[in-house]
Amino acid sequence: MRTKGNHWRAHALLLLVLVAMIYPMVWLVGASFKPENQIFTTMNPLPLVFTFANYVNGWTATGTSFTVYLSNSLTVSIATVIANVASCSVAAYAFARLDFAFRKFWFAVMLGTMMLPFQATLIPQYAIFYQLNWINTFLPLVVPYLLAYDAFFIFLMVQFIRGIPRELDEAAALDGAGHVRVFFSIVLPLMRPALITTTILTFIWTFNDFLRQLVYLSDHARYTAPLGLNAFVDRASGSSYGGMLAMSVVTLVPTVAVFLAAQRRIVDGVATTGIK
Amino acid sequence: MSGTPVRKRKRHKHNLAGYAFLAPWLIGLFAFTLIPMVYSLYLSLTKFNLLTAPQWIGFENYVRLFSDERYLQSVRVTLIYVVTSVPLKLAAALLVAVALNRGLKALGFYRATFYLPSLLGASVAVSVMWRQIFSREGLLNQFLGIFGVQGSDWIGDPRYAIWTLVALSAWQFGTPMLIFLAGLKQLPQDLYEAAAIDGAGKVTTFFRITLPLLSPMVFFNLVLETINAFQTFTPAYVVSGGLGGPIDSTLLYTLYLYLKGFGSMQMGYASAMAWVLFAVIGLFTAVYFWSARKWVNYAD
Amino acid sequence: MSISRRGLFGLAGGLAAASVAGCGFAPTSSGGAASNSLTFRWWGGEARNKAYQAALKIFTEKTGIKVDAQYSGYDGYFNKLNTEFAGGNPPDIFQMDTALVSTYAAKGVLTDLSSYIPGTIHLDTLYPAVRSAGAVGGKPYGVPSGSGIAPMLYDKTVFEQAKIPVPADTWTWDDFAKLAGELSKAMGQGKYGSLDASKDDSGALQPWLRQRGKDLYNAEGKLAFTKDDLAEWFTFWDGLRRSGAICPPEMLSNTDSATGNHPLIAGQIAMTTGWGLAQMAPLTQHQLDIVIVPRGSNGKTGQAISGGVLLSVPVKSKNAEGAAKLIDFFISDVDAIKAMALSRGIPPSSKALETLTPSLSAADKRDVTYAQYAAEEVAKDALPPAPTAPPGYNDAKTALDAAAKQIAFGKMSIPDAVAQYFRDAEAALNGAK
Repeated sequence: MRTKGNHWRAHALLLLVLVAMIYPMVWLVGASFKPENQIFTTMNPLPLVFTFANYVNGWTATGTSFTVYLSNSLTVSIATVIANVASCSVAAYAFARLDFAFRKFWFAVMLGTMMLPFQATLIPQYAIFYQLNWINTFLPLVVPYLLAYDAFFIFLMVQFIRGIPRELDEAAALDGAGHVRVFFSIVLPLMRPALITTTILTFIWTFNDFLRQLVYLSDHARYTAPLGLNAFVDRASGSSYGGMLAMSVVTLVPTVAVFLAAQRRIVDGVATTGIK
Repeated sequence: MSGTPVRKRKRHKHNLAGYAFLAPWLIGLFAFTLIPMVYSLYLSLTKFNLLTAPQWIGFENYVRLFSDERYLQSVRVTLIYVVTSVPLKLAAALLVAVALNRGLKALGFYRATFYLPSLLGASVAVSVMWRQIFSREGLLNQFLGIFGVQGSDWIGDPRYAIWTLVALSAWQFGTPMLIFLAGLKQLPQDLYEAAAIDGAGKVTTFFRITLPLLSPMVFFNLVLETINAFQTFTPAYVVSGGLGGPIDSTLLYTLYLYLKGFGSMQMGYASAMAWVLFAVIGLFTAVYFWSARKWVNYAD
Repeated sequence: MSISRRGLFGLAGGLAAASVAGCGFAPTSSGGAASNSLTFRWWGGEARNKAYQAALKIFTEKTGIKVDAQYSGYDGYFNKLNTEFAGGNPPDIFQMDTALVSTYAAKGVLTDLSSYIPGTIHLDTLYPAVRSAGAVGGKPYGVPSGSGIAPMLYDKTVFEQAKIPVPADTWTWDDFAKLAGELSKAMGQGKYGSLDASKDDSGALQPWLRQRGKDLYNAEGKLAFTKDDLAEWFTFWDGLRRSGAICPPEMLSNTDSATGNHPLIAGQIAMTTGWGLAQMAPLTQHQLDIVIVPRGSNGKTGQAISGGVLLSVPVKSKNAEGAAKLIDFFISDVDAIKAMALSRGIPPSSKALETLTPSLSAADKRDVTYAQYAAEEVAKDALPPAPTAPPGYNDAKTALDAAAKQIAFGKMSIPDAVAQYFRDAEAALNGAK
């Protein structure tokens, strides 16, 4: 499969698609270096006049430093990733490997939790977190993930575990391993690509989430990056587009970094797991 | 889920362990998911303006839905969106994932670049950028101009606006791509070696080996992307400024739900919309699971 | 097995605990029932946010009341607020949209501020014309922060390039139609004299109706014009559209989203109704200016004075007394007036304008000069003040937008669109009661 052939055709095709893919990103980055009165009036993706002003002004434009927003976003995202990976893998193991009463029923319930649009449950959920006195803290954003809130990842991991041949855990079980040992020493290492995928997706989705964070956080000291970006643009009272675009680019940096760091491991994972 | 012969002898032999592993999820389910869901079901049977207590009106909201022209328009728009964007996005994701799984040089670079648009999410920046591309004097029309074609104002024209949303969805194919890539990494290599010895071509190998082995991931992506497409909100909100225009041509279901619930403050009506969507998605998912017996292969 | 499981949960719990010890996870100490603190919510862009923060600092120094400043953009603002109202946890005082105040007041969730006037809130500082801007059923549920009259915005550079004189303050709708046609010809293919303003309720239709002695809504919250009026309005714009004097409907979608995409910035049109000089001017190299909206043939402007944004106090406010003090601070205190400057529009009192005038920038002076001129002209109209937008206003506004665009895209005839508007708008205004 990894034969070193002449792949120039594949490269050419990929490059062509690539240009179409990244052009908008080039526009975004280019625009962030334009003076504000040229962002919308010139179609050229690269700035004719180059300025750092959007970055310098944008960083403190909302009255709170963007450093605060970014570190809050990082805190929430990292906590959510840890909580999500731990809780979903445990639940997925139960669904994929353990035979218990009403398993199909609970599996259907799990799928069902994804089918109601979140707008419909926003208000009752807010009421619950208000009763718990968790408003204006990160708790409503993180604690549900500690309890495998997002069925997407449970289902994803179930599909992965079911791709792992059962003989492996059965062999371990014959050696006297309990479920906890089978889970930790066999299933978990083998589902590494799924865990890394979960890490990447959870991080990015949490980092970019807007509505939930807007509803639960009120204090600027606790605002996250998407909320900070929202404070740049107001249709009624004057906007700072330059600053908004510049800080959008800045906000991309952590997600790009996490993606680059984690995606290598999906690939590297293969050689070492070597199924069969 | 399919059973295996081993499990025949004893019914439910892992009750204790099963519920122990499931406990965190079950606690979260009751605390944070089921209670709000049940409450929302109750609200769908009431008139609720968010500011004063809900009033019980029975099934009136559900009945009203079917004479609401904007609602029916949102159903049409959403069905078109789901039926076109899901296959496009999955095809793009699968194609690129398979292409990227072939030991090309600079693989990491390609993978990252293909994922970049998905990192952007849907912010105000995306809205601004999207208009720079699809507006009358935007990039797309400049490109078409090279071939002498005079393009339309794609976002502003009700005939085309929904297709720019489909394009946005297809452009952000990073998530299913990532999942396909992870799935491809799990495939046993020995089958490919055997196929190579048999002299099978690339296309044959893809259809005979890769696709069947990858079917659990194809299934997962199909189910989840369908659910997501039905619930697409943020792009519709961002691209049309939250109004679903021009003349409701991008009024996706959850956007209308949001406008009704939080804009017009008719949360009872919006909740009824949510539960109809719940039923429709449930139906789609059930059909997928039923069909899965025929085409999804699990290693266990 | 149980040990390992405990281990796993212990690990997760430990991480959570470690984070709680950090920041962001512990509940904030403020927001209690104490009489010396307030939570204050507003929406705004960069300039307004900074102005509010500076003013609040002064407020705390002078009164000892600590203010928890909570601000964001307009997107999602009312969603968050509604969620909090529904959950029983609104802020102690918040910035309110004049278009929505009656909707909230009708539901009984806002404090009637009468009992604080004039003891705490010195409403008589404000211009008489704006004092009732937050009044619903004769009771004050919000105090205005500005006094403005929506202008017509135009691209001066385009007028100069086309060698067409800019509109005079005395212009009428006929002058507007003629000018738009001339501009379209001069600007060339794909460019148009004016934006299609047939959908603009408060910026265009309302003055046009008031010039004829009617209005959008009456004091009872019903439509105050007839189907014939609306048909005539749509016919006027349809003629302009057919002659190419105003933009085609495809261009309108760009006015729904971010200001930066507005066709005026892109140089595709030369005139548009609505606010926006301050937001748009920095985004283009062209010079923009404002003029009063075209007058009726009787010379009346028909304009209604807007109170800008309001400050309202929920019934569930934990510190209504402090909130009332803060409201008064913004209208009475000279330091607050200086700190806020023009960040919420033209201040609604002569006291404020006298305080600010010496230090205004050239662009701000233009705004103030226009506002003063427009206010005088509106006074000459001698028309009754426009009632506060009724409950259900937002949906009625959406109905006008929909009807106007159905005609523009050629999907509906004018009579059909008018009928649809009356059906939907009346349902919205009745249903919201």
